[in-house]
Amino acid sequence: MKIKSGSYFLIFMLLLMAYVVGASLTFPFFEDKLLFLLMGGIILLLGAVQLTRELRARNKTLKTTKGGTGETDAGRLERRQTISALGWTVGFFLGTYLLGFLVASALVIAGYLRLHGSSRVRAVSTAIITIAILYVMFQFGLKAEIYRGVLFSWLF
Amino acid sequence: MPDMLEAFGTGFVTLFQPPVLLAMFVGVILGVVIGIIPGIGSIFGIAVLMPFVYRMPPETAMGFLVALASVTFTAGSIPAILLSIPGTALNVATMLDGFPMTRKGQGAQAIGAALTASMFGGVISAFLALLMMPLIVPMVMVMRTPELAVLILTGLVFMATLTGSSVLKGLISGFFGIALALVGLQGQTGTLRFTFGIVQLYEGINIVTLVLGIYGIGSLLEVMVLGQTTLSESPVKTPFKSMFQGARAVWHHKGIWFRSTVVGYLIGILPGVGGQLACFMAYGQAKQTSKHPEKFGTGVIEGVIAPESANNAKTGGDLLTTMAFGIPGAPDMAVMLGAFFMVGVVPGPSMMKEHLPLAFTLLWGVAFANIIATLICFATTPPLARIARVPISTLFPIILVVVVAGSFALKVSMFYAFLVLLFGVLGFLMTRFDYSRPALILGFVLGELFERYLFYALKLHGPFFFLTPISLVLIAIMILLFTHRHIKVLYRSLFRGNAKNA
Repeated sequence: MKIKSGSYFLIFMLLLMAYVVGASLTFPFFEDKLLFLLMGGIILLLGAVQLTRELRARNKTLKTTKGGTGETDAGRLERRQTISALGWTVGFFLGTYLLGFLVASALVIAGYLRLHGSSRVRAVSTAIITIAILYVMFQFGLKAEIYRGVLFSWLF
Repeated sequence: MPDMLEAFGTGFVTLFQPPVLLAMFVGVILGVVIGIIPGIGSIFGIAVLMPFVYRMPPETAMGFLVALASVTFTAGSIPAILLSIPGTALNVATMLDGFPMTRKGQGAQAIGAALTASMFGGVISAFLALLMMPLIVPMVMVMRTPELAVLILTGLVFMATLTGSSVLKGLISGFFGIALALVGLQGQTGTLRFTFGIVQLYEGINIVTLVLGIYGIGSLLEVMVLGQTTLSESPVKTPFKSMFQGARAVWHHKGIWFRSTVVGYLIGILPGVGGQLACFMAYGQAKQTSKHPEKFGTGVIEGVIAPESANNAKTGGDLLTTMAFGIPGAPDMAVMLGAFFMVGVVPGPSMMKEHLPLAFTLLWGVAFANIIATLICFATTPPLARIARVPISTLFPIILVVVVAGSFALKVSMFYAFLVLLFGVLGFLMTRFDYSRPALILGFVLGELFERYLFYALKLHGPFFFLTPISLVLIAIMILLFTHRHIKVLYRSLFRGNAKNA
C-alpha cells in the first residue's frame, strides 16, 4: 500500500515523540519529565488517530480509482520547484559556512537573478547594494561581527 | 482607576518620545512595503525584522513591530484592487469588488475608499481597545496559577481548532511547540533536557530562530514552490482627484463603515480567529443591508469599504487580547507574542501590572500608525503599485539573505543559521501537509509559562487544581470547540428528522 508523503511526515513526528517520551523517562526529577511525558503521550495518541484516518482515506481512494493515481505533470513541476528552492537555500547556507555571509550573499543574489533572466548589470548591482546595506547595518547599526566563513577565518 | 488614568497619559506621552516615534514611522513604511508585495504578509515581516529590534527598549521595539503589523492590510488593498492580487490574506474580500471597479476605470476611487476606510477602522478599534482596558485589567487580575494554566491550554486549543483544516493536526502542532520550548536547562532542577551536549542549546531554542525558520524560510519556500508571480504588467492610472472622491464615499456610507469596524474589532478580540472571517462577515453584512445586494461583486464601493474597515479594525481587538491575556487574537499576534517575550515583557497579568503604560503606548501606536500609513499610501500609490509587480522570483534571493542576516543579528554562529534552516524545512513541510504553524509558535511561546503554572498549580492545589469556576468555564469552552461541529450535525439531523415526521 502506497502511503502519502503527509503520512510519512506524521510517522516521522510519531517516531520522534516516541524517542522523546523514552528519553525523558531517564531524567532524574519528576519536574523534568512530566510535561514531556504529557505532551509526548498526547501527540502519540492524536497522531495515531490521525494516521489511522489518513491510511483509511488512502485505502478508500485506491479502491474507487482502481489501482491508484499516477503522478501528474503539475506534481512533477511542483517537485522540481521544491528541489530547486531547497537546493538554493541549502546551497546558500553551505556557502555561508565556507565563504562567509557577505561573499555567499553576493554570489547567491547575483547567480539567482542571472539564472532567472536578469541582465548582468542588474544582477551584480542588486548584489552589491544588498550586501552594502547589510554591511552598514551590521557594522554601524548592530555593531555586530559578520560571519567570515571557514575559508576566510583560516586565511585571515 | 487613578493608576489607569496615569498609565493612559504616560502611554500617550511615551508615543511622542523621538526614538519611539521614529521606530513607529519606520515600522509604518516597512509595513506598507511588506503589505503591498503579495505573498509576504505581516507574519513574515514581524518574523524577519524581530532580530533587528531585540536590543532596543520595549517601547521602541514593540512600537516598531505593532506599527508594522497594523498597516500591512492597508497597503495590501492596493494590489488587490489594481491587480486582482491580494497583498495579504485579509485583502481577499476587498478584491471581490475592488478589481471590478478597476476594470470599470474606477480603480483610483476604490483605493481612496479602501485607504480611508482602513484608517478609520484602525483608529476606532484602537480607541475601543483603550476604553475597554479599565474593564479588562480587573478581569485579568482575578486569574491565579490554575486559571492561567487552563487559559494557556484554551488559547492553544482555539488556535489549533481555528487555523488549518484539521483539529488533530492543529493540536499536534501546538503540543509539539510546547515540547520544543522545554529544550535546554530546566530552571528549577538544573537538568539539561535534549541539548545533546550542544552548548548553544543550554539556554533553549530562541524564539527568533524558530520564527525566522518556520515563517521566514518556510513561507519563502512555499511561495517559490507555488510559483507565485505577479499577473499584470500594464501600468494603472491613479489620479488624486478620484482617490479623494473615494475617500468622501466612506463618509457617505458611514453606516457600513461603522458596522464593519465593530464586526472587525469583536472578531479580533476572539482568540485564534483569523481576520479573514472578519472581512467576509463585514462584506456579508454590507451586502445584506444594501439596497442593491445583487450589484455586489460587480464593482460597488460598499464592497470595498466594508472589508477594509474590518481588516484594520481587528488589530485593536487582537492586540488587546494578546496583551491582556497573553492569548493571541490572531496568527500574526502569536509571533508578536514571541516578540514581547524577546524584549522582556510577559503579556497577561504580569504586563497589566508592570507594563500597563506600554500597553497604552502600543494601542495609541495602532491609531497613529494607521493615520500615517494612509497618508503615505495616498501620496505614493502610483510608485507603490509598481512595487506590487516585482516578481517573487526576483525577491527570493534578497529575502533569503535578509532571513539569514536576521539569524546572525542575534549571535554570530553557524549553529543558529543551521537551526533556522532546519526549522525552515519544518515550516515548509507543515504548510504542505496542513499543520498549523501559528499553533506551533503559540505552544512554543507559552510552553515554559505553561510548565511553571502547571507545577505551581499542582503543588499548591493538588491534582484537581482545575476545579475552579473560571477553569471549569474555560474547559467547557474547549469541549465546545471540539464538539460544536458534531453538535451542529446532530441538531440538524434531529431537527430535520422531526420536521419530516411532522
